[in-house]
Amino acid sequence: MADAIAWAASLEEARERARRERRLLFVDVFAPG
Amino acid sequence: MDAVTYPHPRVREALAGMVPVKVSFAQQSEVAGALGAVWTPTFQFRTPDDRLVRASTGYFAPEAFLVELALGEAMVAFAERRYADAEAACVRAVGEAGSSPYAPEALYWLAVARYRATGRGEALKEGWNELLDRYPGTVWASKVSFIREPAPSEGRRAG
Repeated sequence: MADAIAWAASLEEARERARRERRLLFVDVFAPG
Repeated sequence: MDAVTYPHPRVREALAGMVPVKVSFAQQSEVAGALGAVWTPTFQFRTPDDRLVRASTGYFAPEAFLVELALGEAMVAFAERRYADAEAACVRAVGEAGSSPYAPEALYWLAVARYRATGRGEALKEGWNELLDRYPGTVWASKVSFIREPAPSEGRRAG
């Protein structure tokens, strides 16, 4: 089984990681289910 | 999404190559608003330098989400002019879509990717003709139906 999804802690952190690692940034704007 | 789609092993695998982040529509309303989200769930695919290249709203079952993720990858590759990568991602999207309602869009973009990768206008025409043959009457077929319309003859203008 694949590892658990490594969600970034914040949008800022995700933007920085995506930029640094040259990876696609995926954003899920959600409401609690 | 948390109950069914994100736990799916293949979805996890696909997301492992991306930098995923969640934004709460209610608790981070300013952030969500700045992203342009007006409803949930909203999904965005952004390039490494944070350009928005694809967005969609509404729940996805795992099988459909695998198509969406592949198309998101394709759009980023398009934006970065990595057309062979875009084509490979579109091939995956077509495979994941099967004959589901997501197939027409995947075929649309595969044709675009093949055109961009090769520069051959025929690749675009072939792919879009396949879309029209296999999925007539769909939204994505309607976007390419013009390729089968006769050119207006001289002296006669539509409209």
